[in-house]
Amino acid sequence: MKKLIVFVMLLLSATAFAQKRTVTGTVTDELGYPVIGMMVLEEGTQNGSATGADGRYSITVAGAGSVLVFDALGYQTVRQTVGDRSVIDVVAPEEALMLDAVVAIGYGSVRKKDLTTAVSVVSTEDVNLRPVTEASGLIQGKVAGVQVQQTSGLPGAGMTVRVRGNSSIASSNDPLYVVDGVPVGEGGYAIAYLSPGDIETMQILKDASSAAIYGSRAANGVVLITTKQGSKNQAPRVSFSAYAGISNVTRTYEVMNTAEYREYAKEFNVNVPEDLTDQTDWFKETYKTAVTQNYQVGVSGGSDKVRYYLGGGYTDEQGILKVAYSKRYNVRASFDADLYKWLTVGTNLAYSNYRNNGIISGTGANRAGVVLSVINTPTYALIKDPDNPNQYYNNFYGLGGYTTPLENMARSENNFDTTDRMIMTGYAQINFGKHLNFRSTVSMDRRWVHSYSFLDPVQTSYGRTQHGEATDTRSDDRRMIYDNILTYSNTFGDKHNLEAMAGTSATVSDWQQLSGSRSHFNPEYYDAIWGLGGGNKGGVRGQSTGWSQWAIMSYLGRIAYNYDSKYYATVNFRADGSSKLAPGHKWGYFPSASVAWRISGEDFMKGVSAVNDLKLRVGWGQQGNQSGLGDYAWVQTYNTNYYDWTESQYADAVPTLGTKSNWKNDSLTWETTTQTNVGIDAAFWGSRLTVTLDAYYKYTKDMLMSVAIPNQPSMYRNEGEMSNWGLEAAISSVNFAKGDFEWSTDFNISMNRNRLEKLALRQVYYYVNPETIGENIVRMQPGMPLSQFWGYKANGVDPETGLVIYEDQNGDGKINDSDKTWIGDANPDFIFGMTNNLKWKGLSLSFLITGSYGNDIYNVSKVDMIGMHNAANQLKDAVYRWRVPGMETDIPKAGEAWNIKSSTMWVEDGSYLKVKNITLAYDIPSKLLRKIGIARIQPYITLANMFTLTRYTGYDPEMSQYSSATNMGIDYGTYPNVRTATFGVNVDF
Amino acid sequence: MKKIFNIIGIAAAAAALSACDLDLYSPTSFNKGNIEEHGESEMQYSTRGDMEGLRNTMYNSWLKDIQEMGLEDWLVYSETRADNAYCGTNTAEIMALEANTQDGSNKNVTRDWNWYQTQVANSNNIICNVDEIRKLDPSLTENEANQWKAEALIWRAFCFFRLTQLWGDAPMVLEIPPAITVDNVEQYYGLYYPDRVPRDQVYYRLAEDLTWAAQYAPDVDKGNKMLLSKAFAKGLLARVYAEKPIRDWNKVIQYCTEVEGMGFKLEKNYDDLWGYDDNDAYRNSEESIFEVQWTRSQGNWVFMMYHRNAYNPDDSYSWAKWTTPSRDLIAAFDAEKDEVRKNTNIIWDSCGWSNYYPSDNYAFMHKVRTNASSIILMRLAEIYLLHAEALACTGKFAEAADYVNRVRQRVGLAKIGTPSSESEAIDVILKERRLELAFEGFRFFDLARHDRIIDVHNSAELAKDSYWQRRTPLDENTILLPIPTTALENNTSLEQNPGY
Repeated sequence: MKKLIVFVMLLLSATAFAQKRTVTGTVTDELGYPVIGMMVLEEGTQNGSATGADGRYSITVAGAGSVLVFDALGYQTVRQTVGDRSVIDVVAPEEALMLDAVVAIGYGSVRKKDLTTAVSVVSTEDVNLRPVTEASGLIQGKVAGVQVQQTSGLPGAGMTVRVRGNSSIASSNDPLYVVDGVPVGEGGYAIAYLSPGDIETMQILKDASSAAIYGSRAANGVVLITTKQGSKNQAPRVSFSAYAGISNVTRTYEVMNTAEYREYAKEFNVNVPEDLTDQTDWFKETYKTAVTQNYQVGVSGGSDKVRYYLGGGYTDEQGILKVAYSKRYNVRASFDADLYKWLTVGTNLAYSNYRNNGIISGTGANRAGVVLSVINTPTYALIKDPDNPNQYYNNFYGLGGYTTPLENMARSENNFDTTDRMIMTGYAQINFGKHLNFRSTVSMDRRWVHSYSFLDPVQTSYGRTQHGEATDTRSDDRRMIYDNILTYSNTFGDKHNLEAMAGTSATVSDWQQLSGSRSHFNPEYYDAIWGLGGGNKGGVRGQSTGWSQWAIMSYLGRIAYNYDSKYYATVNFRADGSSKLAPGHKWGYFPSASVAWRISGEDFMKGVSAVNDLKLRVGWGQQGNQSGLGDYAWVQTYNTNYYDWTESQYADAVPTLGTKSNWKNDSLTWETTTQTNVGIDAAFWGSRLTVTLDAYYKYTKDMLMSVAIPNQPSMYRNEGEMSNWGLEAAISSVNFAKGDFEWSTDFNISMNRNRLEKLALRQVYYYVNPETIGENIVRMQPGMPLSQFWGYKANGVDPETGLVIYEDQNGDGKINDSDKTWIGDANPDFIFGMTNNLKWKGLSLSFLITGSYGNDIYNVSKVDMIGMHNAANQLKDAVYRWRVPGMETDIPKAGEAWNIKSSTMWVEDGSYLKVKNITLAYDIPSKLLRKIGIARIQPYITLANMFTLTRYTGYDPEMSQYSSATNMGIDYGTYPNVRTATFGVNVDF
Repeated sequence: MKKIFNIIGIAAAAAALSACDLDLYSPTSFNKGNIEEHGESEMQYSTRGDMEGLRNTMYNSWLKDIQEMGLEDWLVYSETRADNAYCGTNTAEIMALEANTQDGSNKNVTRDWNWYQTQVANSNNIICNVDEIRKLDPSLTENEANQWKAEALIWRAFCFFRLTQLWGDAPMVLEIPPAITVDNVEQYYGLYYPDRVPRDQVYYRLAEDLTWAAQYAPDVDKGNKMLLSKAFAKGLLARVYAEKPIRDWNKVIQYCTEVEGMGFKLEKNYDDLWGYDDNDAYRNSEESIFEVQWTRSQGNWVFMMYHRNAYNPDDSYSWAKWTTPSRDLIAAFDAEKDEVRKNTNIIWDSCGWSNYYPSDNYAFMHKVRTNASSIILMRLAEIYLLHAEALACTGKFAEAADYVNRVRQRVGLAKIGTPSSESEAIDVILKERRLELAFEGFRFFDLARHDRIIDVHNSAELAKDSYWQRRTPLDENTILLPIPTTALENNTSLEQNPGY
């Protein structure tokens, strides 16, 4: 159509203006690819053209003084004065996500400048430059209000993501992940299949008015991910990226040598022979340098009617502890076709197979915890038992119950979890004219998990006692999602823009499992027969089956209106019915609304040139959380009585109905979070500086919890209420952009204050009772935030007795339970992140700094490392322990239970500043390469987690053994985080 | 136009088909969706079969649970808090109990408080329902109903007795509280955290329940000593009446006599009571009045806490064991020249630790020898000694000595002469009880009911043995245990025992 107009105009104008000239040229982007469909306008006129499939354009302009404007979405606008030229080739630089860019919101998209809600876009520019193996790693430090922590260094573990604090106790606090419009679940397991190299864009819906459209699963925010697709009229583009990195443990500790240990062990009546000397450095034997590799290849392209993407890759992450690893193969294919003008169909298939294994953690060395046994094992010990070379050494001369780290790792070395994940989506979109379209999508999300564990009957002492054990569990989780969405958008009278959306969504889940176990394996041939077949004893009832289903039916709608891009109003509504809730209470309703005012669009702001965009937005909404509900949570279920058929009286026994296993709850319902959000988006000096500020208040009602009712099964009910409020600020600025040098900074800082408001029945809950301390260290009660530590206040060591002095809080002269108080808070005062990008010609250097201030960590590991409660080896510091009355020291007397109570001795300040990532990349100049068909080669080096500034004495201040909201900030034999150096290359053909 | 209608039609059909069924029930457990629930009443038990199922659960599950809270923890209270055993290992909660520094946060105290009350609630399921069910289901005969109710009453009484021995005033729940729903939570929640009832009241209740149960409980079955029988009920009555709150020595004599007349005999070899052969452990001895039993294939695990499973001698035993026999106990055996009982109660073995004895010759508690061994909760020898105690306290010293000698003769010890005073008689009887009933859960409470525990616990002699924890002196208040702090927090009207 446009070409016709241009032609006619040319004809007309040819007669009128003799001085006209025709200008042609090619428009390419920074990588040298032709830009298709870019508008070429003659400034000040209606004269325009567009670039064709090869980037070429042709336009006839009035004269030498004409200015050509090259403009397209995603590119910076380029102006060229025609002058004498008849051929003008233009390089159009791509636009960083500016106001015109499109942002995905639930079931639709808007332009960034039209957002009325708190949606943050995660920059995925550096996806190909960072050794991140799981999608959540890309978010860290980039988004205000979202706290992402690497809570464990286990390969394949992913990160813990919290959007605006924790609002749930029994349910998950992970956000919902939606990939290409399909909700794939909450938390790490949901997103583990996706290779970050496949991600095109990532948005986080933080407040209720944006996330409420996902209704009953959105209380913790929603992360929208779109994957790479082909584009229209694009020649096939092949990209290949590979990296290899090496990782090491973040730190080591010095332990007592044999002579010092011998002296120490005497205090526990453990007598180590005098002739033993240092034999083994357990740090060196246990930790190794791990290699991570990643290879990804993808091809995308499209014609006028068809668009495709095909990609695959392999990631292999070794663990610094040798039995831990994670390997993943992934394949993705997507295909879209415009069959008719009114019908578009497409399909998306993602398949991933990943296999991982871990270690025994979260427990002390006496229960085979690997990390702590590295310190607790004396250095005189050998690796293998000299009398039985197939067995690990375990003679500790009276120190009972401890095993070497290598033996502890051997306990889990044969285990693995293999997951096959397949997500297949097919859709058809019918376009009824320009304004109305209907899209129907069917998705199948299938997860097959095979978990296998095998403990051999020879190497480890536990294995010898159990005569070897094997368990094999297979499960199949199938989810079907059916979406039907009708969207209408139109502009009336040039200023009234309306978009309406209505639809249905149904999700059905079916999970089945079969598992079996055997013990008693032949010590000579245990390697010969794999699996259960090698075991002779199957237990009284050694196999079990499981089957569970749930379904959600939803109706959703949205109306978004704006007047002249100045006044905005959006209303969302979602109704969800869940099978997990009691009849009569199955439906939940989640409305939300938001309004915005573009102040900079007003006449009175027109003169203020510094401010090119200023928008105020206010939103309110309700979201739900149902992840805490069991699949049949409201139903009264009963135990099944089984009988031991090996006893003669029960030889023919059958199962009978047992006692109640839960309390039925006819009023069980969702957790509902109501959130109010006020925000300001501002851009200054041509968007060189953009600032986004948000303030929010969240209140969660009907919080699901399991209430222990004494002497009865526990009751699952909507028990409590919790509040969170906070402030966020995100600032982006292009500090310097002259010539070939550019420096830009993104900075975000946020704070969240969490508080448990009410509990209906029981008022005090305790969590986490580590074996060594023997006391509860976390206490929860209304009026306080979650994850508060509880114990005594310790005031140094008494020089006369060597005992720790605890504060007598109630002044009654005795130190007991009533002298305990709040001794630490795992919640940070504020968190922040900063990314600095420096570019000069083809070279780019970027830093990512993340930090957290004011969070405390309960270092339970320290109790096993320096608590000196038994004859296990301790840190070197134990040499300075109290020995005789009158000695002044910080290290108390060994062997006193008094000294290892829960107290401030074990609580540390976990504030940190980390240079999380430093990347240096070089885009090799392309002129030569273009000739061989390579558009770009970009080698890079990345250093991850190299520098940490903290006072915390543990491995890493980000670590946390548990990810439940009630007990964050506890370090207990957790798999340590790693420092990684990676070298990689990205190649585009 | 037609095309558009077609399209809309397909779209509508697609929307309709995508609705789904929200009424789902679990296919892998008994629940409302697959069994008949019983109307609106909260009682899910309405047939004889239901009651029989509960009775089976009592014998198969509730009683067998005793190995953790009822034996492992109980022995810390009875042996370690007195003078028979060191706690055994450096687990914080039992070290505190040995040192008498326990407080409301002690893990063992908390779990035992909860467990005994759970057992009371379990028994109430039978006790409070069985009469109603007899009306609903005629196949439940009166005899059966009374018998099952009696058995549950005996188990409940056993638990009440222990609750009050440990904590003094104790919660006494005699009914099933109504189910809590959103509507009635304020009303009924408090019933789940009951107040404590004065000690005397608990004892009166015990006497009442056990007397009734003794009438209707099953008769003694020589082939099954895990039956909660008339003999066990009467034996418990004897124990109850010996304690201070409702002490009545005549009743003790009466009930001891009745138990003795029910066909029990002292086992010829003391050691056989805990014996085993290549095939199985010995159980159902003639002397046993009530024991909790296991089999080799479904065995107990509590043997692991004390030594080894004789049937699997090569299994790893890599951590220090609990309730390690004390030097004071060994000296007591030696003073009487009592080799038989010493070797039955204590075994010497080598091990990987040396907390209390050299690791090549370490002392272990020897009354749980295999995973198939029974835990004997009452046997004839104890009844004889209790009988002797009652006789001594009613002035019949000669008869008391006679009973003591029956027990001594069994293990080949010389007879004792007639004591000349009650205090001397009690000393002799307590010494005999210590040696005969070591590690069976009696020592601390025997000494307490005769006001001797404070002296024994705080004795300077005992403190000379440096292997004991440094002990905070015991006083009248700390004979009882503290109420768990969590219980105090859940019911703010509960008051902590004085002394804590």
